[in-house]
Amino acid sequence: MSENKDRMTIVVFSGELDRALAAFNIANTAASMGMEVTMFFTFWGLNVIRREKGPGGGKVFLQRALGLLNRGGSRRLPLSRLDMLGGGRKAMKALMRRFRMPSLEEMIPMARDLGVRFIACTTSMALMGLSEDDFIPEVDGFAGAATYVEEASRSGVNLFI
Amino acid sequence: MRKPKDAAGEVPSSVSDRRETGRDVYGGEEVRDLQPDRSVDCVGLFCPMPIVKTSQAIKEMADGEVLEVIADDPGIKSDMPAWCAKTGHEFLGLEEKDGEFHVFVRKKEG
Repeated sequence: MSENKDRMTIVVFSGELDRALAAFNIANTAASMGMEVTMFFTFWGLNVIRREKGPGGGKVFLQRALGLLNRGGSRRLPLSRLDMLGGGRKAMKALMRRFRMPSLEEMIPMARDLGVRFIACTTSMALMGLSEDDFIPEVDGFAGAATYVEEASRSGVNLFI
Repeated sequence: MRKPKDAAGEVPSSVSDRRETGRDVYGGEEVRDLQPDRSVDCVGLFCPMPIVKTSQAIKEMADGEVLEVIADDPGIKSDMPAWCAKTGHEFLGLEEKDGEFHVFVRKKEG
């Protein structure tokens, strides 16, 4: 097992719009430079690749409470700073449109077209009461940390966002 | 077969060269005379779009053909040589005209 400089892994731990944009910007650029890119979505990062639907399920009361507060879907992600109950993210999206920067909703299918792989973390899913049906169809697989560590160990670039 | 350029060596960084000379190193007559086989307009677009569009265009071209990328984001001055160093395509040069950057890339053989 040798390190491959043309392979990149990105752990998307954060569920905020700005951080997700940074992750997809790097992923799409790297894929355009001929690199094989895998994005591992875990914890709050799962929200980036969740379907936009009602509150998450779960068997336990606390999971259902969390599901009410922690809604998924790329369009719902807040900014990590100056979100101001949604006003900040609206302003940021307007600015991005004004300067013709691709939105997260455009970056996700673009990543797929460029061959970027999406893996969702099953442990975080279990914790939050999420099932495979809660995710967008672009997700390639559902796996645990060993899958990430194995792939990261032979990648030249590994990011945690 | 043309030898791909080495990532570290041959392609100079326009950023550091600019610092030394106070002007862009790329450009000049040899770039102005190039007849591109294809042109991609990235004016008004930002990272990662110029690189994504360059990568898509070059895939559809034949070996040895020349691609022109027109962009107004100055990041392209550093990004396109970097993209070429990584992918092995040949960076031919860059010309700045009316606030727009015309970048020329030759598709590698094979």
